Amino acid sequence: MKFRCETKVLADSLALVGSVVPARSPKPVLENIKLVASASGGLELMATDLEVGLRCAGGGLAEVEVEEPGEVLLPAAQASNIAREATTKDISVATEESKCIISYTGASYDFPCDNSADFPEMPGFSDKKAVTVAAGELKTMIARTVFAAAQEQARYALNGILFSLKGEVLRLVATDGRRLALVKGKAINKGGVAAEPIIPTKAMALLEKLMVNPEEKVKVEMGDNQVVVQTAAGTLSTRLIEGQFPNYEEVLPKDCDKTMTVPTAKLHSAIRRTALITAGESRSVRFSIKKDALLLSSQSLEGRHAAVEAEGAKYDAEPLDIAFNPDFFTDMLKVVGDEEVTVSFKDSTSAALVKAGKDYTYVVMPVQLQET
Amino acid sequence: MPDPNCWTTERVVLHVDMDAFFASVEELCDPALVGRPVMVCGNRDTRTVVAAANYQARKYGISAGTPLGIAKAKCPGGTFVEGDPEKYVYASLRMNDVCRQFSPVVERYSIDESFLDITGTAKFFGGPLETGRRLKQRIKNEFGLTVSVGIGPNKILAKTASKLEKPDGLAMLTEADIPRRFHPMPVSEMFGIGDRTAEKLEKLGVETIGELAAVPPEVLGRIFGVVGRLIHAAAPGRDASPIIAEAETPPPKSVGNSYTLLRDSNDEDHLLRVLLGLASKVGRRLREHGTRGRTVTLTIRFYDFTTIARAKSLPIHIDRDKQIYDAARAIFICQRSKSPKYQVPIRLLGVSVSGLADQQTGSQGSLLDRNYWSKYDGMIRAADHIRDRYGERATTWACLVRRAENPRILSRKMAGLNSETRRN
Repeated sequence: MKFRCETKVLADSLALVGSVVPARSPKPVLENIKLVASASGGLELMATDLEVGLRCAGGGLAEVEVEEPGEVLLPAAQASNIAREATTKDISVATEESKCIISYTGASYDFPCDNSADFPEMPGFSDKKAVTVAAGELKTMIARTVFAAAQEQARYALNGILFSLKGEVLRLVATDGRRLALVKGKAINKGGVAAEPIIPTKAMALLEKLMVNPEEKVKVEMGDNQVVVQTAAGTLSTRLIEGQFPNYEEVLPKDCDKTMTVPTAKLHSAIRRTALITAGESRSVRFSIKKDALLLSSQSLEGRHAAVEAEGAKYDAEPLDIAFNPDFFTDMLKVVGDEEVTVSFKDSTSAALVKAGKDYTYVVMPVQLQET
Repeated sequence: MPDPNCWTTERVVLHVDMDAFFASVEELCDPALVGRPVMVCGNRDTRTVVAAANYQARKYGISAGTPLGIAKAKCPGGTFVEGDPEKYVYASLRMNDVCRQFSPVVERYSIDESFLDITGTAKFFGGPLETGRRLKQRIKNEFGLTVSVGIGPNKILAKTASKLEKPDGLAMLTEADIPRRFHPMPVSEMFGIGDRTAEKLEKLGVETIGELAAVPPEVLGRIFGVVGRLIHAAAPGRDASPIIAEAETPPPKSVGNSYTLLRDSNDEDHLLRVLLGLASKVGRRLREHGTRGRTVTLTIRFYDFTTIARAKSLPIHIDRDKQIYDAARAIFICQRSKSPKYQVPIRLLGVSVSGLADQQTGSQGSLLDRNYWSKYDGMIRAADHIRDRYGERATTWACLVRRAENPRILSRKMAGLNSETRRN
């Protein structure tokens, strides 16, 4: 195998594909990136951790001049560093007997070759059971939900995002058991695919990176135990999380009769300012809501107090005191996008319902304060 | 203005030391044991040591710490009783209730020892010695147990005094007694000096407490480190450390429990059951303290005594048995699968919860499984009530109820011998 390409193209592609590679794997072959140079020209890079796989052939890789077709495994971290640090415009990669050589004017690196046949087969994309989503929309949907997913929860289903497709409606849902984010979007679903896979958070975050151009159409193939997504930059395949995702419909509160409207930016800023004195991990901010007034307050064990008024709140129901973990609000306010959010309550012990625009719903459980 | 007849420049500290405590409690429970050599030990079928020996058994040269095999050889006619910690804890708590009738300032120093600060209360009972005598009498009348009481101006002298006339003793050491009675004692008699330290001191030519007091502190510091300075400070018989009543005990920083298995075990089912038992005890104690914590630490000691401790921090503060168990189990499974060197028989498991909540910490509500948790909490509350009333062993998880199996088969299973066949 032998090819020559623009250094930046190779460096960017190695960095992107390398983000899948596990730092240490019980299967050392997975610490490599596989490069395939085809006879018809063009280069494809692939990597997998057996859960999430990524293959990239776009973004300049298609124009790579191939002198000799073939394939090779390169150690991900080192190859990526070599390409990034290279000082010339072009760089070449070649195999010679059992060695692989990366070189550019004035520098040469060679590696003993691992057998590329040991590298696991990577699923390709097939149009069967595929739906189409606008990249810009999907990207926003992911950003608005992924933060609410659990991390390392014993209940595995919560460590992913529910990717629910019914007709032309795509819903993404994420929850860690204390808050839940739900966003609705559109999909072109000519085949009438209906499925509700749970996709690992890592794959969702990667997918967000793969969608470079918001105008492009992303194709999603919904398999039985995997989902394959094709964007211009690459193809992402992911295993699904097994298990039962909680019934999110049941979690959405239906009896919130006190509604407050508040400008997103003002609320975000006020919560951040109130949380400044709360103690590290067991934080809470109290919302004291009265007619057209929202006062936020917090206190620390050392006897420090904060009181911050959030401007622009509209409220016309009986006064209410309720406390929340401030992160649960700021995480959401950071990505919500809309200028205004409405927050509805039932009482100080029941979940609050946040709405932004017509497609975004967020549910958050309050913190029960010990009255002193 | 204090009564001038009772006024004193010294504190008056009383030390109560229960005589052969575990063995005495056992004699109390089984009168047939009275008058015979009795040794309390761990499970008799396994490696264990004598935890307590009564005075008849001590005549055979047996003391706490004697390995069971040696004890059996030295005293073949002795009675060996499997220890029952809950009984002793109960007895100890009741004895402290009696102590509190003589002073509000009672520090439970260990399961069978307490310090009382009677500076202000001795006058009500006819002075320090009379207070000691009455306390002994009350304990004897109420429980039929004998204790040794030592009185002194501080903890060191009080504790030393209680040893002077053991068993059933009553003695007092005052500051005036220091040169005459305290300093001539061998160093091994001093509070805080164990056999090893005494041995080292004797090699240095230091045999009595008085000689120890004369050694420059730097020398002791060099040889024994921090301990050296402490024992030097104690040797003149002066000690300002206060008696800390239980109500003043600072809130715990963590709550934990550990268990040494009867036999080293590699049987995952069995080990997980042990973990559940530990998690339940920790949960119960967290609830008793009215607190919750967010860091769960699992300690594993393997058969070769290598020990690992791994912690996991959770997003919320917890106090439920199941949540503690789930976290401990996750760490256990993760560690065991990480390396073959951890897939070896285990000797001890420990679970603790730290990162405890303070009054400022609210309780984060849960969005999911609200019905499940409200039922679970109801069940736990009921179980706690039952335990409050009928003792810790009154309720437990079904899978922890000991099955009536042939003990030999049970122990083989515990040793992991047939775990292979069980998996296939």
